[in-house]
Amino acid sequence: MSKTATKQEPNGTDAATALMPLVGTVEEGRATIGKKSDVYTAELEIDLPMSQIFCGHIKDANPSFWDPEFANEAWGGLIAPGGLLNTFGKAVPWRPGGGVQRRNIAMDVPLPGATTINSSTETEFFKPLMIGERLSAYDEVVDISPEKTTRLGRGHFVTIVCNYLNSKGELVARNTNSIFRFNPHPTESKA
Amino acid sequence: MTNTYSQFYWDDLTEGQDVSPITLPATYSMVLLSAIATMDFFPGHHDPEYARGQGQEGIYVNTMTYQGLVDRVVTDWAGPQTFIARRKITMQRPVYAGDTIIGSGKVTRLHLDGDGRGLADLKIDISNQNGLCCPATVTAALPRRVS
Repeated sequence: MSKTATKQEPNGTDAATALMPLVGTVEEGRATIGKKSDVYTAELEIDLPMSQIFCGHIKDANPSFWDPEFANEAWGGLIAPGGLLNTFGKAVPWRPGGGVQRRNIAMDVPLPGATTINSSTETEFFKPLMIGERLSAYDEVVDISPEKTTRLGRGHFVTIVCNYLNSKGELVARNTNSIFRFNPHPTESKA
Repeated sequence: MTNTYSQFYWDDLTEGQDVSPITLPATYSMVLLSAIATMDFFPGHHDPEYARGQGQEGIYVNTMTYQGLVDRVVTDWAGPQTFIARRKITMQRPVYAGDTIIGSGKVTRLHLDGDGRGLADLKIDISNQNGLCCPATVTAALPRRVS
């Protein structure tokens, strides 16, 4: 392997790096209200093994996710839990040569808060998540709150709406997410 | 439907009716699996040092796990022909690795939509051994005996 080749680290941006928010001023943040992302088509299909791993972690025995005969009669085929909606809009976490990470648009809103926590999420479902379907999605920044102080720190709540479409262009779900972009309270000196 | 899974019909529900509770241990494995199963690599869900830097006690379950738990409480009780039409969750306090999760709920309102679909509004609470962590409201569509 040539020296040049070894310098070309093909790692790209990894999934954790893609989750770190863009730090800036509140004014810069407010300028992004109304901003829409491009429509992004997920790399992953709504996938049966991923669905069943998710079900396993919360021990969800709903036959809609496990029993093809039942699911076919009830929904026209096996479906995935609604909790996986966001996941099935994502890119794979890494690929050779550096994959393209779909950054949550809330992370691209410049704000003073250098860390985040999800505050509330409202999801409307218009259709079930059919196994084998591939979703497309786009986000819109709809609101940035005045500065708030919570148990964790001081910052702003960013509201994002994400629409998820199936391969026919039909609306499958709409997600409204409120994310707290904050800086933690200073820790007390132990001196 | 010829299956043997038990199912509530919308017509049989009453406002104020309790939703059967569930309990589940939030082990370290479960919290890590929540990050892996959802491809959510935000470090608060797998890196204790990062989580403590945020002011948390340790790693905590993610949003999608709460969503899955809320839906599970509803469909375990109502039956698998229940469609979650809307679900809002508010994360008030984290469920940390090592906690015990308790899910419970109540029917708050029964109504029909414009298409005659039977809808139940539900209040679902996800708690740990110290109290409420994630209150949720759900609108679920259930089959009707007569439509």
